[in-house]
Amino acid sequence: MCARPTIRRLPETVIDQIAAGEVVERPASVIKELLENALDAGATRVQVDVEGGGRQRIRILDNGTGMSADEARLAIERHATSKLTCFDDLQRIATLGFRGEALASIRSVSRFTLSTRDAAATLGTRLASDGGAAPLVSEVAMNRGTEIDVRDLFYNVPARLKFLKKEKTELGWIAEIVQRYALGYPTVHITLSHNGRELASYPCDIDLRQRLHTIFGPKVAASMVAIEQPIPPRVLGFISPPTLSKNNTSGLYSFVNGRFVRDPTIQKAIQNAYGSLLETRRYPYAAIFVSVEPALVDVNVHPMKHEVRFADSGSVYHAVHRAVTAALAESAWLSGANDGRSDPGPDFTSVADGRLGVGADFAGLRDARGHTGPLGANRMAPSELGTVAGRGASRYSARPGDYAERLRGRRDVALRELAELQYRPGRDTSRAASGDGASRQLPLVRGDELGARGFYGSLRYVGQVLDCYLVCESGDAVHLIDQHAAHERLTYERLRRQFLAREVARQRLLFPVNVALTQREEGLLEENLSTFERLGFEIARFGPETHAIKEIPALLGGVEPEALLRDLLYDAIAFGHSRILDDHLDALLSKMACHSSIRAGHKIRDEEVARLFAELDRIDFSANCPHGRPIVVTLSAGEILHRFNRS
Amino acid sequence: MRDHRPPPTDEAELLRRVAAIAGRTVAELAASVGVVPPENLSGHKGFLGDLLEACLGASAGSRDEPDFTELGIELKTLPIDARGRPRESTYVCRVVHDARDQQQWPQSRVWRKLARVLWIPVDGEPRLPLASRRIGCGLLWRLEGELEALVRADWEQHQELIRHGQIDAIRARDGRYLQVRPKAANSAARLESVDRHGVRIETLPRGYYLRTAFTRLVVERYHTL
Repeated sequence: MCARPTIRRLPETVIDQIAAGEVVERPASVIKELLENALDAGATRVQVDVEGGGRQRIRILDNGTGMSADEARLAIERHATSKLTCFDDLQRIATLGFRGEALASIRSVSRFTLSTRDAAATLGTRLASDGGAAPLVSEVAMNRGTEIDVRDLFYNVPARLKFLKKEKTELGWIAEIVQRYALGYPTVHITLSHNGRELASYPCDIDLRQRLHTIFGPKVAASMVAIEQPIPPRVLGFISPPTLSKNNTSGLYSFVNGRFVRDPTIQKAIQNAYGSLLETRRYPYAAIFVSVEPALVDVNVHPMKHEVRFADSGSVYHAVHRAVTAALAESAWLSGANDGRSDPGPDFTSVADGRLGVGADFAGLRDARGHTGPLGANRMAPSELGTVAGRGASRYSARPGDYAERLRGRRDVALRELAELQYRPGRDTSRAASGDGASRQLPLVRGDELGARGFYGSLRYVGQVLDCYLVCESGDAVHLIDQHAAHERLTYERLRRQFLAREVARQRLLFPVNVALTQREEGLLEENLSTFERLGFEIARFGPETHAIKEIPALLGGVEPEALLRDLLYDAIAFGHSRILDDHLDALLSKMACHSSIRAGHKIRDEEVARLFAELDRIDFSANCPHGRPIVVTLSAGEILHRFNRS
Repeated sequence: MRDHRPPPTDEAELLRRVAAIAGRTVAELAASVGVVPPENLSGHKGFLGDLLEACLGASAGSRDEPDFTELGIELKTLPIDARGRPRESTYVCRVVHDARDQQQWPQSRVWRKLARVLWIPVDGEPRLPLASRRIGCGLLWRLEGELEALVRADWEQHQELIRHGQIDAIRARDGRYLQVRPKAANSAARLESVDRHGVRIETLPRGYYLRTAFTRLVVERYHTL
């Protein structure tokens, strides 16, 4: 029989190694921590050199403020930091780091050297320590700043070492980390080299679009448009058109007060804003910067600091959703529609330290010319975005309530005539098969119906082919328009408008659905009963701890009422309001629109085409059906000539 | 029923009573008016109707006028199957066999009976014990528009034959939504009537019934499962 192990205090080195397990997972996490330190030190240039995928060596050199000899000795101890002085500071953290754990953790699992010099010293200080042992201190001649050299990571923790991936994989993660910070700090020059070869260089770009170009590539960057939501919590950034998307979220970069985060609230807001513009499981490219009062966001959630907790996640959701939706509503996203007028986006020329949207008091930080305001902070003021009003996504003043009014107004005009869009199957007036090839004038549509001639109105209709596609011609291109997708989008917009106008049709359940609720759910339901009624529910108390659902929104006729109610309640708990309905609504509206739209095989008449085009020009998102499929495919004259081997 | 409620004073009160019984079981309702429900409806065909009349305060009983006399509202139960569809046709009123009857649609008994109807869905799945069957969400309904036109077209077709003294020629399959069927305990029952020449004849008593095709339209238009 084994003797019972006795309880004893662990040695400091073991404690450090255990702590390191939380902070230092792989070479990329070392680089993340050291990059954050460099940026917090106000560096304008950071050089990241890696060898052997980071296993052999990681060296980070910055030109930040550096440290004195005494500070350097303290900095490598656990829980030593310049970023916090008291507990209250923890409530309003504006720096990337604050735990004072990183250097001690890294030191304990590597051969570690720190060299640093601040402006007051003539010589720098070098501290060398292997595996957390007491450091050897020496003087060194160096420029102002800090250099950290981490060799043989995990040499003393074989268990951790064997979980590291191949060199290329580790390098990929490192590159991703560097890329994130390059995007978040466009005015900091960051370079990354591996085994002496430069892999990436992010020069000091005062224009964020330049940095987008480097990170997302020219095609994506050129098509991105700016977003802005100037009312706190403030949001700015760039998003891609729905035509450019990925099958994962790796193109989504979200920053909260300059910190890269993977926040489900922000991601969901982006996804929901795109809604039906993207096919299922497709995600846009986006770089989104959210500014929240530091006191209203808790960054002390996870050692890696990838997660934050908002005091009011609902307001963050709405801010991001509103910003993205507004930008999407303003852009036709038609192929080539943005040519030559790509949105220059926010003016970032005034950003001194390159940090975007760090939460603080933004009032009067600086004007659009870069004049520093009373606070004099080196931070981006989202209010500067007002200077780009009219250039792209943000053409409207952003008074509260404007957004809904604006969308509603636009759609009201667009959809007033929609009910008249009558299709009468069976009459074949298509002349596409006539072979004369001549484009023809579409029947006149009343001026008030047509409004300004948009993309569709400018096309010359040639005819219908394959009983589904409308062939059109413009100056230098041929366009194929999917009649089903086009009508589906119109129908979808009508249905959605009903919802936004709060004219929710209700559907009585044949038999009430009795739902047994917990006390918490019951309290929440009673508290939000009027909200549920607005959403189209009739719910009444039926007995002790039981409520009966008697009516549901007619649009949700196919949804299981009890499951929907529970989802809404859970959602209300999580976000302070219901978003599930939006999720369901998009899918249901898409399905309903699909079923009630003209199908392939319908011989469309010229009058119908004219009205269809007029209506398409009046609505937002007229380039995609609600499932995200394109409505129009364009073949340029150049492409056609190329296919015929003509120059 | 022992505890028949007094008639409702207005539609709002009637609707409150309807809302209060929605979701309850037959056993619960029966207990509230002091009766014990039978095991099944065999031999107790009118039990559900009587029970609902007692709970809601219908006053007409078997008189030939709307169940809620003061409000001009007829009460109709709608047995519903597992798929959410009405299980059986709905009796409207008896057929007047007098061929000399020249009544028009607005004065007809069918119109008067169907002008305002309170439909009460009831779980009609026969496998379910009667006591545990649930009462659904009631619907106060008005016969109008497209649905009225459908019923009226059938009624006029039937009346045409009755006026021509051809009531025996009306088959149960005639009429898309409103049918005429014998309504008697057995085929030996006879009703004295008058043919178009004023000659007394004897014929089978008949009634107007709404087909399930019609009540299904009502259910689908106003309810979801």
